[in-house]
Amino acid sequence: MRIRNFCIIAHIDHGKSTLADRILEFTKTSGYDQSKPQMLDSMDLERERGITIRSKTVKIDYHSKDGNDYILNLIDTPGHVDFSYEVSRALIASEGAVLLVDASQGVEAQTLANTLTAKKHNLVIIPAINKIDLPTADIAGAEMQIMEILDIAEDVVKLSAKSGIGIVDVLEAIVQRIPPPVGDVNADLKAVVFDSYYDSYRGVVIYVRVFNGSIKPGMKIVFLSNNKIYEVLETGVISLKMIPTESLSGGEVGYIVANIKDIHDVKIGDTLSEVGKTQEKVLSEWLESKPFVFAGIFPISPAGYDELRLALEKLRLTDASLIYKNVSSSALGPGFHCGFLGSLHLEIVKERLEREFNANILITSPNVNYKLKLKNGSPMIEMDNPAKFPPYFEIEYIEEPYVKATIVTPTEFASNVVELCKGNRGKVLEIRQLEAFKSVMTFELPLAEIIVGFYDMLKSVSKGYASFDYEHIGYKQGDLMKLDVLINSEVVDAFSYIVHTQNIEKVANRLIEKLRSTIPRQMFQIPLQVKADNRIVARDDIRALRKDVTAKCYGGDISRKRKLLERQKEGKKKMKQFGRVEIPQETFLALLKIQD
Amino acid sequence: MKSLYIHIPFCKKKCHYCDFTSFSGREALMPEYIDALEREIYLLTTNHYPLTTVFIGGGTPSILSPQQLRRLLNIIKNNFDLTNLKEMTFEANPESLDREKLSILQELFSEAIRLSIGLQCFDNKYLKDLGRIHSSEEFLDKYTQARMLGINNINIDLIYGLPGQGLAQWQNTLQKTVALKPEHISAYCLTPAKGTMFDYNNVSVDENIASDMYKFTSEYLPANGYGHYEISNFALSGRECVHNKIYWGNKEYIGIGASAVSYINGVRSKNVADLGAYLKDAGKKSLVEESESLDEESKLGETVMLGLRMRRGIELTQQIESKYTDIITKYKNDGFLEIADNRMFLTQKALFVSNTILADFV
Repeated sequence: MRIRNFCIIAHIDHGKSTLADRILEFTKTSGYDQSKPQMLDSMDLERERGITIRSKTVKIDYHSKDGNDYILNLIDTPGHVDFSYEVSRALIASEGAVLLVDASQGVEAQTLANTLTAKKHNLVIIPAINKIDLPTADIAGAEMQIMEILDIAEDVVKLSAKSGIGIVDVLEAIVQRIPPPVGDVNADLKAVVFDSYYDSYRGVVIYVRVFNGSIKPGMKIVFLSNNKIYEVLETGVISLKMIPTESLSGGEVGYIVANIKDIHDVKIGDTLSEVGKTQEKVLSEWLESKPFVFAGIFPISPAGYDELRLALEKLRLTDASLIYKNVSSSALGPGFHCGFLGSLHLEIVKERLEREFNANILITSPNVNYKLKLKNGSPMIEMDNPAKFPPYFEIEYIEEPYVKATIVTPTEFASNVVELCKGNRGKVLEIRQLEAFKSVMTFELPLAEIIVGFYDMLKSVSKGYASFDYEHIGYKQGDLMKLDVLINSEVVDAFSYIVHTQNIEKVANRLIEKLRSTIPRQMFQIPLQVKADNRIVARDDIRALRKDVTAKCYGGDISRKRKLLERQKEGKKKMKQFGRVEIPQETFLALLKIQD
Repeated sequence: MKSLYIHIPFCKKKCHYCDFTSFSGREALMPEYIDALEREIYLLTTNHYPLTTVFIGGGTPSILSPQQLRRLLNIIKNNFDLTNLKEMTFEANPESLDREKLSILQELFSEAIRLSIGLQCFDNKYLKDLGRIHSSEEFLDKYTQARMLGINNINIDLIYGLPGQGLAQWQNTLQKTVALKPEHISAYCLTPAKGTMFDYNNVSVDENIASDMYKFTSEYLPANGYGHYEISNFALSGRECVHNKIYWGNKEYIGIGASAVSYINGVRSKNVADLGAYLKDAGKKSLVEESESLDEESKLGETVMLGLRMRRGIELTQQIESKYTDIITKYKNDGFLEIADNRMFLTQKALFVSNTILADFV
């Protein structure tokens, strides 16, 4: 069996999904459907947003020019920085990677980040320039950037996935340059989990790369991370559809069904062994997705709490990165405090709750996790919910998470980018100006400053050209303070906001503006205030409603009028009752985008 | 006992705020339209319904020629039992009202006649802005003629909250209106409804000025003897519009003509609005374009929604009290709702924000 295990890594929009589509089409992989572009993006959300959220895998049969038949296992990778930890998943299972670079865009931040990860995993990298037939293509420039920025000297494959140019060259490069997997089929089982998902009928389906030995139905397997034992019910390969096989052997990539009910038993990067046989880890540690962004999710009406709990439970089965715990807000009642990989992950969870579970929810403004040293001498505490922050006078100091951000931009926008980062409390670590008119910059930034709106602002200061990737680098002390929002003289804990002291007024005024512009006028005047350490730092009023009347209502108007009022009532139902004040969803959405 | 509404969907020119069914330039069809009305009535009333009120509205009913008007009134007289008729309202615009038409009304309906004249405003500039084709002088002339012919129940329709109109201008219109001593005054806040010229031109009503105007109106008119009996309606004692109170009391009524709405046996149905379809089908087959059978809950919601438009409010039945306990308490505590003598009614300050309140009851 001639096997090649590979993945495609690329910056978002550089054509990864289109190349995957073309490869499937060219190799006539069964089940390929031309009417559905981006075949590997199976969630509606993924197709709509043009990004891959979850990685998938597909087995491809390829007859090479060298006369041999090969099995190519394409392991797809996600394309957004929030999910960059998932890129590592695909790399565990591959021997090589096609590094795709857009001919007009050149090397971007995620190209760089993914290349570094691939190199760390000792993957063979096949550089490839895509979209070579676009009028704006700068093939020579892209080649130079691959050399200069990525330090890759290998031959570059040139293609246009969209037009089907150079697909054979990519396939031949995979066959020729990527080594076949090595493994001893006769040794004891050693396989690595690189992905998993929850299937409501079969339980958790895990994707594995077998290194040694083989795995077959009936075998008892053990996860080395937690010593949980399961019996294999089915093995198979994925060729867009799942195709059961008698076994999976060393070098192969496929799936296992083993009646696993809890997806949290399955850790990416974990090693699978056979019970009673040699147990040796492939990787020294498994990858755990850690939440970095937190927000409260509340049902709009308290009656929706149980439904929301069930929806989150179900979502958690399919999304191992989502964590949540019960929380009770004095303003919003019972709900859930949730942890996400990043703000895109938050948005995806929100949309899935609304679309797949019809949940009527409110999401509070996202925040990061803080470490607090209190004056009472107790050990540091972690705090991921601003509503629960102790009073200012009790706090000795606060630490907040930082990231190292890599930004790649055309040099003409470099100074804008530096300004933007400095404005967000960033510190320049390194600026590399390249001959290719591109600058590669690294910054140290507080995570809190980039979770909301930063990416949009980066795009706007660079006419859309700058790209961005980041990695977490730990905690640092910061001069932070909690802002309390008071509506009608009562604190709305769900709106509490942690802010750097230098930004108190700016943020307080924005909070007021967002509230004033989204809370509809009501039958009485509503005072709005923002307090920092017991000092009012911003205030305004929502004036009382003066006119909401149907002047004329006669015989012909009655049905229409009743329907109008019914609609008005429906609108009221969608608002959160807070004391006497009705707060609409728009307010919560506006506060999610407090940076705008 | 029933109430009858007859719709006359013809106008010389459509006003900029009007969202009723009316057509201009189709006056040649008026004789045919009266034929169709007769057919519709004939099919409906083989057994001579007894009527308590009739309301001929539009459009512009006064656009009918004297002969057409006489014919229409005779059709009503010949097909219904009018022994107990209390009120026969006829809507008119100054430009098409004349001595001859007034005499015909007086001759055929005498004491029951209630004339409703669309004035809207005393300032000719604003009349033009509204798309009206008469002057305030022309109105005064026709009003005086009606009085001289002995018509003793007259309503004047007014509109406030016009673009650019200040409180003083509105006060002036009200003062001049009161000086004429009409029996009834309807004062409507301008509503740029969908599909109207005002909506097309994105006209909006200044909320603060409009509510100041409303406040003044609801103090000034009562001070001059006009009881404030509905959100937009004021009348001298005993001169409230009987027909309109049928609507607000959520009672049944029959509507005849293109786009007219009927409410009979818990079913609200609307006639076809298309003039051609109406002319073709009247008296031959069902004219109903849309209908809705109201369940008990919708009926109750409508009863509250309509009844609270009137200052006397609604009877606070056990059903209403138990169904809306929380809402009633909330608005009572905030001073928007009052309960007295087993009746529930909106307070003065609630009227101009009444939709917010009524929405909780539907």
